[in-house]
Amino acid sequence: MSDIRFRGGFRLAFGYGAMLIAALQALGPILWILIGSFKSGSEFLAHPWGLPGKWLARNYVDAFVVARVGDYVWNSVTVVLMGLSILLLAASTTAYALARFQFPGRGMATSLILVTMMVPPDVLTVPLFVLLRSLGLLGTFLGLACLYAASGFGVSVLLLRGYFMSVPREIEEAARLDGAGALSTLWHIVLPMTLPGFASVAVIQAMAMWNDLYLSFVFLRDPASATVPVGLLSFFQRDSVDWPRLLAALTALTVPVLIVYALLQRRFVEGLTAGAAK
Amino acid sequence: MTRTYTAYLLLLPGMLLIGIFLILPIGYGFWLSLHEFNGIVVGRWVGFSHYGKVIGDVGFHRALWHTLVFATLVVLGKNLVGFALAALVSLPLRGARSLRTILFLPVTLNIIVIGAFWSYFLSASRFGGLLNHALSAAGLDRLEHSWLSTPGIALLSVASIEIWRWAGLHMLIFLAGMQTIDPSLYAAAKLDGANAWQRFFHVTVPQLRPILFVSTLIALIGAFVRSFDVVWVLTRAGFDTQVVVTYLYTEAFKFGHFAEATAMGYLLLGIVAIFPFTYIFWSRSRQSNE
Repeated sequence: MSDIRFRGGFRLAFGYGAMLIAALQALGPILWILIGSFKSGSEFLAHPWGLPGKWLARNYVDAFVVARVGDYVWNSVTVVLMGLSILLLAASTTAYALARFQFPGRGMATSLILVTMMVPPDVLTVPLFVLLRSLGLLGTFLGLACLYAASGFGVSVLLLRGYFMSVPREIEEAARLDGAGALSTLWHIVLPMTLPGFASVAVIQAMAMWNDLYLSFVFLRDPASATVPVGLLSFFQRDSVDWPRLLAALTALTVPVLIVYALLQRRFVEGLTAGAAK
Repeated sequence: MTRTYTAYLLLLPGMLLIGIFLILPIGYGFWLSLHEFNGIVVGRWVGFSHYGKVIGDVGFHRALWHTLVFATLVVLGKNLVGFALAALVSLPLRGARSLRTILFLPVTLNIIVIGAFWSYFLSASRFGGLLNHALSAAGLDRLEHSWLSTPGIALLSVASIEIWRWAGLHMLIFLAGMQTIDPSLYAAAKLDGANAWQRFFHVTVPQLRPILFVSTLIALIGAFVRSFDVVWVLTRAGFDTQVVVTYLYTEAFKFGHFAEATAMGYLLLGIVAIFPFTYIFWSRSRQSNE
């Protein structure tokens, strides 16, 4: 594949042209929200696709002070941190048990995990609604965090198990002979040695939780506890949208994700494709 | 013995998590779907009559039809575009590697960012919609549409946006598949005198069949089950874009038809499960014939 030769200027121009178009279609929306967020309302309506004549920062102030976007961010951060903690705790212990222990019921546990990967929570909307209500978790961050953790559990366990199995057994045996228990071996030896893989799982799951609309839309019914996508949805599905302000809010929410993505790019790629390639 | 005991302790948090929040609801929901249920009180046993009701419901037929159309478009589109992008970034051109990073960006975007951009891009030209504006500037006024609300077109627009959104992920999946291809196959083909294009079509493409299955499965589940957000944000699931997941939500939480909505979830699950099982069955019987 990689040794297709590009002879002649025409083919070369064609290749670079295709690359340019591909890059533009992916970057266009991000550039548009970024540029639009600095325009005044009237300028946005007059020139929605051009550069602003004057770059205004006021929309950002409005988004956070008037539209209270900061509250949504706080809600989202809380849910994501809770969900991630529950998920990583449960998935790493389970993955470790499956990677290193032989016990009756091992096959059964694996099949249960595979079953949960086949059943997305979306089709269980009503039973989950009833269940959360009877547990007193409906409308709470904890309830939503548990749903996120449960729906990301299967794939995380499979990935972590693979990483854990790559740790040489001798190192763990040595720790065990020194009297370290399973949890302390997992925490002090296995996790530090598989940190990149662990980070891949965390990053992908955090992104999925941060971007989720459906589950928080259904299970957090109170507007005051809305997460970012749900809060901005009501902002956006109005009859008259204050576009520059919405774009300022969207930019402020997108830029941190892009920074994380730029820094941890390899972890993203690894977390998403490690499972697929197997 | 103590190691077995330790293993069970380690498994406990995970099993509790999926036990309570996934396994229990699967069973409980199925039990609910066989009873009269108004969202609060569970009534008498009614067997499969809710399933019968859903199967006979015109609204469900429409939503299922839209879902099938949407899924067909999305599965084809994600595979084709994802594969084309993977081929593009594998070219021996400068910048091809950094292009991968850029092409994956849409996958990380929040659905509201996607909704805001595309609904503006596709809006009427008097509101600044770029596509319609470009069409009328090119003298193609006849092709101007309200892309997200015209019957027959709205679903196509949403499917295109869904393809755009996830193409970068499918590109990565295909790239991962290309990396697993044994380089000696290329060397052998080269010795046999195959040129670059022949190697591409006779080595790369057939070797990617397993990864094509993975990519298709991911696209299928996404299209059937996880399409609520894109449909809802772009069209609020109007008459012409109502898919099964949005219909399920509306039936339960707008009209209070909780029992029917529960049954609908299981029907959808059954429909999605048909595809991988058929494939596995088909490929097994093919293998045993060979």
